[in-house]
Amino acid sequence: MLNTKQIIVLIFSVFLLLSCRKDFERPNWDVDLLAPLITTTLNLEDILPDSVLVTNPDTSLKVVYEESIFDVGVDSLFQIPDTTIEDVYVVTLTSIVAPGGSFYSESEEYALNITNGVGLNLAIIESGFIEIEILSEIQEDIIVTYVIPSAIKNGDTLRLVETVLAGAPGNPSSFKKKIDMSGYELDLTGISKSQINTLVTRAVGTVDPNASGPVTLNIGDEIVFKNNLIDIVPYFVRGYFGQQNFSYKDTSNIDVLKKISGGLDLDEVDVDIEFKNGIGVDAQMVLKQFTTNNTNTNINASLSHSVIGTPINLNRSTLTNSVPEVNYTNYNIDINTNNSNIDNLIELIPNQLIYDVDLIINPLGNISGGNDFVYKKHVLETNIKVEFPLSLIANNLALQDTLGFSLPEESETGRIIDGTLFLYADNGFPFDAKIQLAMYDEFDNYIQTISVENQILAAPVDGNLRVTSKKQSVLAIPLNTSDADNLYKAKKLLFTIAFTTQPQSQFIKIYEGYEIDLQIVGDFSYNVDLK
Amino acid sequence: MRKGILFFLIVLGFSFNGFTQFNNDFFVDSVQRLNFYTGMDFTYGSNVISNQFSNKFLFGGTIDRDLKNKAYKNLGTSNRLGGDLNYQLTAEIPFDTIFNKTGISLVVGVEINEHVDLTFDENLFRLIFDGNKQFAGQSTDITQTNYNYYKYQRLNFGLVKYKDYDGKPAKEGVMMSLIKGEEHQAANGSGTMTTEQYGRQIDLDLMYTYNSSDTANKGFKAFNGLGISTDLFSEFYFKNGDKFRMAIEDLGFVHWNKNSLEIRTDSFYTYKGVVIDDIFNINDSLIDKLSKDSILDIISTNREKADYAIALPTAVHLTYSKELSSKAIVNLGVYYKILSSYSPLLYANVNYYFNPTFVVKSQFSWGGYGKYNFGLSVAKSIKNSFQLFVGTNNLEGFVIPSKAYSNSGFIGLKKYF
Repeated sequence: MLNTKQIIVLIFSVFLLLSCRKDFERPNWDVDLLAPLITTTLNLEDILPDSVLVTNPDTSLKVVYEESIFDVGVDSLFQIPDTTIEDVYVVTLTSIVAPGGSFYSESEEYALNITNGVGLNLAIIESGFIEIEILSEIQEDIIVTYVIPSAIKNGDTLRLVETVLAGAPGNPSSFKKKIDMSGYELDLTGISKSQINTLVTRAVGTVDPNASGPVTLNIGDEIVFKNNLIDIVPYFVRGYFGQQNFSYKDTSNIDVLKKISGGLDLDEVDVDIEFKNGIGVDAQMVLKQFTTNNTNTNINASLSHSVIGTPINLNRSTLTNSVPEVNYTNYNIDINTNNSNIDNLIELIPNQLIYDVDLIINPLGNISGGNDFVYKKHVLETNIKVEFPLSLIANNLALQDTLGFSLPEESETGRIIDGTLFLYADNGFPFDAKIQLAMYDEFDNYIQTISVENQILAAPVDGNLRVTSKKQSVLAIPLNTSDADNLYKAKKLLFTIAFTTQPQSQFIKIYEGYEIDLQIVGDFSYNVDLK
Repeated sequence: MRKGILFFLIVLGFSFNGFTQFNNDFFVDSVQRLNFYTGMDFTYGSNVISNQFSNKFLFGGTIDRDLKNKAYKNLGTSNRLGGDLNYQLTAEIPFDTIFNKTGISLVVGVEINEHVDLTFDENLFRLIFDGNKQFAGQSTDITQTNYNYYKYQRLNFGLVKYKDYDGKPAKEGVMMSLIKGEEHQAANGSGTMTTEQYGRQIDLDLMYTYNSSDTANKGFKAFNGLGISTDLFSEFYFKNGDKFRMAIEDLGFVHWNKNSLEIRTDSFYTYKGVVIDDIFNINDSLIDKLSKDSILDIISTNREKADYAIALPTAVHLTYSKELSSKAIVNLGVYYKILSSYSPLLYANVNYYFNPTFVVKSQFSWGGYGKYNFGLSVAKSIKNSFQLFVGTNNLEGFVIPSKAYSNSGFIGLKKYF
């Protein structure tokens, strides 16, 4: 039989043999590869957003860019802040009231705290609540009938009948209820029908008819009514909105041309600044500044046009008593290359629009007799529409973008040693194009620029300067060992393609379907390393 | 093929002349004795790539131009490579009588086996080791290529019968093995690759089948297949006193479970580069389209999970032994492993006994996965209680690896009681 020592020797021997095997290093060898790497197509949709490209009947393209500059609506004119209105009924004489007997009946007017000095006589509520809280020191259950006679919905007055439990002096009972005010029409003219911003309530107090007997109301007993207006948003209001001054001075970003830089000469530019007044107030507007800015080049240009500094009167809209509820009044300012320098503002390829507008409402005062109005959904809009045909002269007009790029440092299969990338371009644009690739690391530190030999040649055009066929060019991108090493360090590629129209002296239209087919073929030595 | 040796080690111990290509049969057991054996062996070879090439491929290092050019000179119509790695632990338990017979021992043991073999086309070899640029502007045929890889563990049970021919010992036996399949891969196919002159297009006309055991379940614990195998051997003496042995090894199969993968295709593909929809979002597109799965999707027309069974590389081994003197025995034999891209291995070896406890064996052989082979091994019996052997059938693989085409080694320890 085996003894312990022998068993240990055997087991040790087995494990010694098993341990002989290890995970060896992997082999590597060099191969010469010639293979297509990437096939892609570059067209205008890669340069400009689809949303701004419009095809003309002759299939030429134009850019139409629309943006809202500012709006004047209910929120701009006034607000109805959350408000608590409190009314206290105090028993002034001790009295005895039989079950079912009334002991309190009063109407009250409450002034709403409307901002900006706006006097409203009517409001239709879109959303919001009124929370009613009743505190009673009456020593018997009472029935409270609470009415807001000026709040009507579907023909019914807002009316609340609730039982408030018996309380005690210094220890009142409490009742609270939250009422959804959506859809209520509030008459804010008070009891006299001649006031503004005034809400009327009426409360009636009655001893519970089921009380066991007559109830004594002691002098000093109190019933407190609290009305809390919460998050009131009007759907429609009417009144006098005051003579208010507004100033709109702001900078808005333009990202439609963000991939483009360089020299651009446009044949024609049209800008339409449109004012659409959906508010029932007159307004006067002064456009003080209209400037575009390119923060990359620090170049800006301000509009030179007769509209600058000239007051523009915007008439009030009118009610239709139908749908849509208002007739908008419109005012348009046409700015083009004939009456302004607007092309300069676009050709600098802006990424910012800077504007400064003064606006006065009711410049002539309360000429409507308190019949100014505003619907929440109908505002005074200010829109800009920029339109220019893609008929242009480009001189190194550069399309530039940063591409996320990462060749794994420890590739599963190996790494590029050196070689050449060949770019085959079938160009359907009437542009020559130069390509540049710059490498950056993950911290945006510049590594190097990869030189590209030759350029993409423009497609030939006919007498109408329209492309007749694609032009093929072959560009070589040599990669030495250092370039290849840097490719593995790069985490971003700044891709720049600079276009120059051919012929250079004439505006050339860009038509739908123009594109460049690109294919990158790798011809390089590769070290296969089977990690 | 290592399993053949292990079989003999299991059922016969060192007392038999082995009939595998290693022939680690140094000392003859004339009587049954309880013994335990542990050992390992490896072999790899090719008729194309030198040991220097193989060593760098297996163990790491740069396969340079000189190595590749030497390999290219050997390329022909039948190019092969293969190898085995085996570990073994065995006990032989003698019985006085069993089944009413005497001279029978029970053998039990476990083995870990790994096997790979490959036949390949000349163009495929050149393509892999020098890339496709050399084929620019050409259509390159890649003819039948076959690849097999097995990794499995076995539980062995066998019986060996000790016989006596006029005082000369001989044995015969049978062994059954229950196999736990860990991993299997097999591929065979052919095709044509056309690289456009400037590399703008690569056309592939492929017809191949690839089978793999469950790819999600790997490692020693993976139980992806179940199989059985049988080994048989017998030996006898001619009237002139010479001995003849014949054996069949690894006659069996493994059934790989239903999670196994089969990919088949018979299609024509044109590749013009990864199509990037958005050039400014190139990285995501490349990652999506160059992933291993997406490439497999592209070049596989039929991909399904299903079970399959595959035969083991069965071997046939014949040996003729002649005793030249009391100190020298010469063995002539042939070993052939079917279904594994193997070329018949012809060998001749001499066991020279310096004394009854120390033997040196030298061997010459031709064939197998490689070409010519020179072997040298030694064995020592210690106090009739331990036996230790170590050696190689490919001494040239260690001495002149640049000119050798196979490599092997084996070591074993046996304890008698």
